[in-house]
Amino acid sequence: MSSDVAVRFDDVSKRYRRGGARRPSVGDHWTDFKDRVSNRLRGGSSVGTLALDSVSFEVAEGDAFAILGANGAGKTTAIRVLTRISRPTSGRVSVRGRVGAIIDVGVGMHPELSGRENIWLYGTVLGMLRSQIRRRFHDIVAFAELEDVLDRPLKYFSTGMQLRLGFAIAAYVDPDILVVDEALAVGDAAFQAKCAQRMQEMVREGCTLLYVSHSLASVENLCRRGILLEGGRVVVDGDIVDVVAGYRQRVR
Amino acid sequence: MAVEPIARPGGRRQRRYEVLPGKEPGVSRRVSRHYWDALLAFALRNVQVRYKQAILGFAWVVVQPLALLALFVVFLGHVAKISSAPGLPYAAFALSAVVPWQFASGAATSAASALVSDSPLVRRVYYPRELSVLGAVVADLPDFAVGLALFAVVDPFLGAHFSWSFALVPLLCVLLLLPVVAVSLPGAAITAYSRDLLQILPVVTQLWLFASPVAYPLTAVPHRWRSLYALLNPLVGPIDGFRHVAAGTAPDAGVLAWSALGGALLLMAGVAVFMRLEADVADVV
Repeated sequence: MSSDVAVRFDDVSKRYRRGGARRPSVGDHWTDFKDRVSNRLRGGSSVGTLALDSVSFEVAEGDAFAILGANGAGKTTAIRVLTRISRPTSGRVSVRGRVGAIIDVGVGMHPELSGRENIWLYGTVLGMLRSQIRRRFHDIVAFAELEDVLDRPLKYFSTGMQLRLGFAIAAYVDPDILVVDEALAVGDAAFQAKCAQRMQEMVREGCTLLYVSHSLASVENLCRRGILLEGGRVVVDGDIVDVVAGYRQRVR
Repeated sequence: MAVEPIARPGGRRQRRYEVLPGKEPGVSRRVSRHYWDALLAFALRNVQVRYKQAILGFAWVVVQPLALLALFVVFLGHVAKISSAPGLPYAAFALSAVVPWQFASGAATSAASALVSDSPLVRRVYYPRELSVLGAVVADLPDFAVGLALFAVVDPFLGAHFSWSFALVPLLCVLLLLPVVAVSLPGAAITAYSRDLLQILPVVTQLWLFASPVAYPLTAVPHRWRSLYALLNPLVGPIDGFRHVAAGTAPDAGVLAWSALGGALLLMAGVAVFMRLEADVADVV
């Protein structure tokens, strides 16, 4: 892959087994097994849900890139494959650099631990050394505006506070690629503006941004390029204006 | 998914990876300085969470084994006067095996649900999945250390007489860790796919207890079966070793060696199962 490409999807497909990502009971195992056997006999292999269907796209280093699509179009699956949380059924994803991802409010921080303890834990899980966290600690706390409640267990934080902390950690682990998935929609206007400003700042400093959102205004404001997903396929790939236009036309 | 540091024009080292349908990278690719930081963070988290919203907090690390020990001394030292090994009173005999057994069963049990209880993290962040499992095992080490300290301090009062073989304790701890990690890894991965294992786990643990020389001495097993016994149940070697430490005698080197072999084979099998299952853990957990 050429040196200025940060993320590349090469014909990536992702198939979830029956019932989405979960397989609950003996009965389901049995039907799953039967389906697979009968499919094998008929020569097909289409069991489960195809969340991504031969998706290919490239994100240049330093670009601000949007992934748009209706609910269930495959945006989150694309992000999960990109961040290595789950692996593709076929195809290849190449990523250059450290990824910082905000996939959900609370992002998997521990409710019983204090804000301070969560910064250490989550920062480490995201790939930072203790020394790097120590250097960034004050930036994280200052951005999240949580100086006063830092030693309170996370479960007593409001949703907004959890979101601020999660974003602050992911945004200050010095990622080469920042992935933001819809999470920000929960925050209030002031916080969203602050996050948007931080993301722009990071892009200016050379960070690659992958942004998933339904807020078209913020997408147009932040991103230069993007793709539109529909039913797991890429239907528009190009300038952000075209992608947003495609979204307006199809998702309504 | 290979992660390789590559040079970047700015001089900063940058990581690159490829996500492929295939398996995870091997063990050697993962071990880095950050890996140990992360393992420590997981273990620390488990210890912190365990004693949160408890008035005694971290003091429980000491208080709980101490309370168990008090029960032990009162009931086994004075009430039930059973003799099981020549020259070793029952309380001293029992404590020497209960300390390693408590650690083995406790660590394996908490590790079995490690990936399930970490599912919020597993579903939202990528990290080497075994960190959850190993973190659960490591989090039980402080309790084990306190147990060992109590063993060292209290067992002589119960009738144990230590000698040079006490120096073997670190080796015995390593031998004890082998089977514990070996069953924890596949246990946690299988539980991520189906919770049935958690239901059967208390039964399996009880079975393992009866299959280990905790309530009876190794000499209860006929001599010609001992090697096979130690190979099939890798806990036999270290537990019997602790017995010998309490009695001040030399452990049976053959039994230790067979258990070490059994533990190593079990660990290889456990790692193999784990690596097959871990890649899809986030999709199913």
